[in-house]
Amino acid sequence: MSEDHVETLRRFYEANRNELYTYALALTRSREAAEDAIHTAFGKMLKTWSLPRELRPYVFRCVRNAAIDEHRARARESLHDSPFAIDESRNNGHDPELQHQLADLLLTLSDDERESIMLKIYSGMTFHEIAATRSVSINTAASWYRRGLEKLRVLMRGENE
Amino acid sequence: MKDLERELKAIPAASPDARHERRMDRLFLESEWRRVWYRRPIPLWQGAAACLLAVVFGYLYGGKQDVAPSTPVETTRTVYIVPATPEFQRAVQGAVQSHPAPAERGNYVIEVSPSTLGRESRTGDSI
Repeated sequence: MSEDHVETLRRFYEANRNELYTYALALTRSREAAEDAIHTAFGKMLKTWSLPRELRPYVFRCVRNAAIDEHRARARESLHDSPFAIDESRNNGHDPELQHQLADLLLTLSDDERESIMLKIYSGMTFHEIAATRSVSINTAASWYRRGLEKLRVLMRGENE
Repeated sequence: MKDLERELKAIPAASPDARHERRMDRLFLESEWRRVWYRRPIPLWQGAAACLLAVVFGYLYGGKQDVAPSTPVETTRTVYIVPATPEFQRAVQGAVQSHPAPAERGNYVIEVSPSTLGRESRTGDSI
């Protein structure tokens, strides 16, 4: 454990806690499982002796692996927590009904498409970082994202007609 | 496509609750404490005392580990000498060599001892 190892991870967590939580929640669909996954992943990372230079994809990959494990462990439970917190009372210039509709449609996409959209839009990742997190090529990550958006657009048009 | 991205971005994402934050704070604190504990400077006299203790313990414990001289174990050995008749040969060797050559005929010496139990040896004309 290097001297600033703990501090680096703590700073990273503080700067990305919401993004990590949303990502883990989108994967597990359970608040409790998402919290456990983040805790487990950071517990493991804090015990390692070195951290890679590209910290962001590494941390998200660790959280992803832990989230998948948590999801598998709770396969018998009904997991339906949403990664979104749409507040009906607060109108920030967007239609809450449309947001609900989009959030529901997002959950109908394939895992890869949804994950790419979550990472790009809610975690602010580049395609390079998404590719590194998912261990795929940049083209694959980009095509998952575009295909997901295209499907969403078609589904939205279908629902509104 | 850009509009859709903007709409998606506008959806507020869920955020972790205070209990989770406290749990994570505790995790970082424990890791920090562990790091400080393992990296604390050890005074020279403590290191020397630990070495001395290890030597004394090794000497005391190692002294008790002297290997006792082994005593020969007496074993009972039974030797059977059986004439190598064709019937016996057939029974021992099976159908593979049902008609042994006359020159191969001799006696079977069967030693039975704890170490050779289940093994047999055959001698030729020397016995």
